[in-house]
Amino acid sequence: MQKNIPCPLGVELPAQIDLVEAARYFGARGQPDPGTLALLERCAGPLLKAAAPRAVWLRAGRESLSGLIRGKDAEKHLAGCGECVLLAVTLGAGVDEAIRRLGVGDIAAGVAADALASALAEQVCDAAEAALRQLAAGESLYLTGRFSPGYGDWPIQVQPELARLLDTPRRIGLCVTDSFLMTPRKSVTAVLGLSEQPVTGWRAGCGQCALREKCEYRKRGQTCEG
Amino acid sequence: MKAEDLFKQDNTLLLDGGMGTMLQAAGLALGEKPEALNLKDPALIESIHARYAAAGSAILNANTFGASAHKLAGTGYTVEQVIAAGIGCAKRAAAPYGALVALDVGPLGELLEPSGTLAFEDAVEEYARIVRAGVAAGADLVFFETFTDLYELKAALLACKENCDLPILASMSFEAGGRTFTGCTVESFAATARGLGADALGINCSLGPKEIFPMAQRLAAALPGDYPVFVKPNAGLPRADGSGYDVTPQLFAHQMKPYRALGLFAAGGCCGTTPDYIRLLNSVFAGCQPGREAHPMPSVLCTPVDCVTVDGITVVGERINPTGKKRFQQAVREGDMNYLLEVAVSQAESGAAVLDVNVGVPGVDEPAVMARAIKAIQSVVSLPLQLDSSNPEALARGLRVYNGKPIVNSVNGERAVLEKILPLCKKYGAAVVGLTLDENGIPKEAARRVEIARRIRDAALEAGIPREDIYIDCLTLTASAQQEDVLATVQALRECKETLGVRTVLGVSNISFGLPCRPYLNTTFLTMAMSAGLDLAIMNPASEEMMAAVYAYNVLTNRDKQSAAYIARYAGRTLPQAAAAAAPSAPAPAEGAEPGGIYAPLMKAVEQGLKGEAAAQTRALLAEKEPLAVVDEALIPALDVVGAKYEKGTLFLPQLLQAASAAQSAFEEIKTAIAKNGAAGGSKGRILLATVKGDVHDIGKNIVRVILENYGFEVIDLGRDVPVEAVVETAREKEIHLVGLSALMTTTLKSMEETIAALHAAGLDCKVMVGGAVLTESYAKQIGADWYAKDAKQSADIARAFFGVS
Repeated sequence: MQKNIPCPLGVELPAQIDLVEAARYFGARGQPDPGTLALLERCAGPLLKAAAPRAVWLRAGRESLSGLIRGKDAEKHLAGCGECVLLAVTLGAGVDEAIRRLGVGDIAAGVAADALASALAEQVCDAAEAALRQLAAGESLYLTGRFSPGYGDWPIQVQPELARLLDTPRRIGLCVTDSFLMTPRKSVTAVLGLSEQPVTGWRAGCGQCALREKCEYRKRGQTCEG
Repeated sequence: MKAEDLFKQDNTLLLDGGMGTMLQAAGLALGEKPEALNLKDPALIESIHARYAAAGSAILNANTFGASAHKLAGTGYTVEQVIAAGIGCAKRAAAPYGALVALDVGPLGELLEPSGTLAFEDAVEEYARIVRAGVAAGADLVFFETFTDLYELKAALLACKENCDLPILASMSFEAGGRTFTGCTVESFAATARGLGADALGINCSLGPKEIFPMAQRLAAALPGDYPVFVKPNAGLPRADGSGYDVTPQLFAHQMKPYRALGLFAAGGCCGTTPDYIRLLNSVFAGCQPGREAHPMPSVLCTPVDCVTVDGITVVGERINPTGKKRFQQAVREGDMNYLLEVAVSQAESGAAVLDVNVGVPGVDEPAVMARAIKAIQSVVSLPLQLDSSNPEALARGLRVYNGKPIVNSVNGERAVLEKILPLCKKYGAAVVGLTLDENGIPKEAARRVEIARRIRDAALEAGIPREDIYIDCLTLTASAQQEDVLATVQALRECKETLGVRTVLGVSNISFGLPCRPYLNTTFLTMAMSAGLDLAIMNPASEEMMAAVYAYNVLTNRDKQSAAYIARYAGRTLPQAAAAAAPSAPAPAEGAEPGGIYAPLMKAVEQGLKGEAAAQTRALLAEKEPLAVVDEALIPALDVVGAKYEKGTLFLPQLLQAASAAQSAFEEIKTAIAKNGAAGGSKGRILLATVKGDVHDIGKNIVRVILENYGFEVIDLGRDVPVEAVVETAREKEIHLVGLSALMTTTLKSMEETIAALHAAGLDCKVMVGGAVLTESYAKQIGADWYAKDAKQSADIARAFFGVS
């Protein structure tokens, strides 16, 4: 894995969206009812058609990322890793348009489409992470899981820097707005620790989460990890 | 070479190769901005340019690709400093070789609306600043490259044309599938960028020579034979492990040989290429003359993702038009874009290929509404649009914000009209419809209509509009009033098509005004017109009779090969039975003793989230009941039942939203009935909603809008990323007393706070409720909100209490 140069990563579009996960994002509890499932199925087709997943990664030494990796949670996640892999994934702007279109005159379909796109983004991220893990394994290296801006105390204010290092506007068409939002909306950035020893990383948990006071999962004694 | 001789060369020119590649090889640090080196290490930049010039590059792209304010943030340098220094480096290197220097311009690094938050005019202004700086620094030409968003390229081209006379080269990057990141096709790029006045078009980056070649062929085919075309491929594809590109200089040269057949104006390299790659191109393109044979140009209308070639009958949806539609007029007056969007989406689903957009309602600011409508429609539908207005200002505003190549409807034979509107079509690269009427009205005879058509065609050609972009409308007259003139329209159409070499268009449905069973007349007239050579049929795509005529015509004229399109549409369908069976569209409301009585079926449909059923039940009820009674007796009680179950936790968001969607469809029936009767809307109160500046996550706000509307409130929805001033201005203008604001992210809560402060500072008598994922009760209080609504249901409760209604 070449260092310090952003590199595209081939990611395939999954054949299907994980409807159970989408139903969870949609707000269903437990097994979704037939009406909800039918709605999700109806919206999944146009979304899959509109999705054009792309990913880019960059391998860099921790010392060259000192401005990027801040806060104790990211630090903990990367413990034992002298290097990192930065990753950015997007489903493309077509998905945003499909969500808008499905929501015209039908708010339930709009929200269902948004939930489906979130589930799809997660699936694509998993695929991208698996591909990176394989690249790393080719060099007898190990990766932690993904850790994204907004987890724990790693602020989303680092998004512009992440996007710049990964050259995301040019490589995958992903831009960050002045208020630190990623556009297209269904996009994910993350850092993974890279090490010569097996590493697992560290999940930030709810302690620093911006949503901790009102999180429905937390109230029910669950977590958003499913 | 002199700049004015750029397009007079008798040999393919060589461009330069990668700059970033050379800088990385020279040890560019991770995260260092290449453009800053124009000032920090000008000798390095100049030496790279000099190596390209020595290798044979006749045009050197200055190191200004990322010199936008957004991308330079944090360097401490201004756009002007970086560009002046960059052009200076390139000019010093070019001088000994007589090479030209291009101001190299890339994307701004921000996504434009609707996917991003950068407003179109702001993008134009940023590019204007870059272009002015380049001109001041002495650039010989402007080179836009690596664009992936056609809308951004449009902003760049407009800025360039409005600020300088330098030659413009424009290039986009396509992925292996033949589309850019934003889905733009090669053909849409060609039609749009040529129309906007680029002097040469090309393809660069993303792929190697082998992969780009078929796209370059398509680009050349989509442009006239004498139009300059260029390419700048990468050194092949990047290796999976990131260790560079897979094509050597020798292989690159080999893979560039087929391009000789394309008569390129210029060729060079992009990422991964170096002076070695360029040097080997000298022999590849030796003796290669620019230009291709002339070929007939297709008539094209497009958006980035949808390029429609008008070659035979093409359906233009007529329904976005207020004429004779009270509900539509009301929606335009209230600025309710959601209604327009529903009409747009349903026509797209019925099979229209182009949509006509007419928002001319007396008393509204048509130019402003036109611009807003075009943007809104393009955010959900990818069909090309026909901008339908006689107001030049409305056309100008619409043409400016349109993404792609539209068609203008219309000009006519009046000199004053031609002089006003044709230059607009030329500037924005639009096709144009000419109506065969003039100061003296519509001539009865076919020959005189053809005469006017000829005048319009000649004026359009003289204004610089290509022949393939001229469409003539010979005007459909109403059979009930001018029966003896109907055939003149068909005759005139045939003659225009055959003798003037133009495309034709008709508003088909006009034929049947005032007569019963209009589809019979419409379909027969359409068939006559198609037979005479009609290209664009402006009609209702929901009319199955007319759509069937179009599909059948294409089979019988051997256009729809193997009847593929016809079979795809009609296989497995059974023909509708005669009138008797078609009658009752909605079940009669059930009378009876069950709770809710006559309203029970509608309530049940809403509670179960059945959209179609809810609309049908509402139509049936409206035959007997007042619209507002249906709202108060059925819709609100049903929503209350669902809301209570949601609060108790016996049903969840998906069911709540499906009930809201069903109520939404019921409400649409009620609004149509109210508009038709001309009765007062019976609004229970007017509420302004907005997702605050900087935030594009508006789903929560949309849920709130639907729920509030379902409870009978009038909602003015300003959309997402709404500037503070727009909220204050609208609140003042529309006398709003309750405002709802949403923000999803911690970073946009600040905009929410600023919006509330501005509303207070303006001294308006209005209260504010707020919601959003990261908001809390206490934070809402802290930023000055009057209420925190934890969900849509609660926002409705707040509104009901505020306005004192049930």
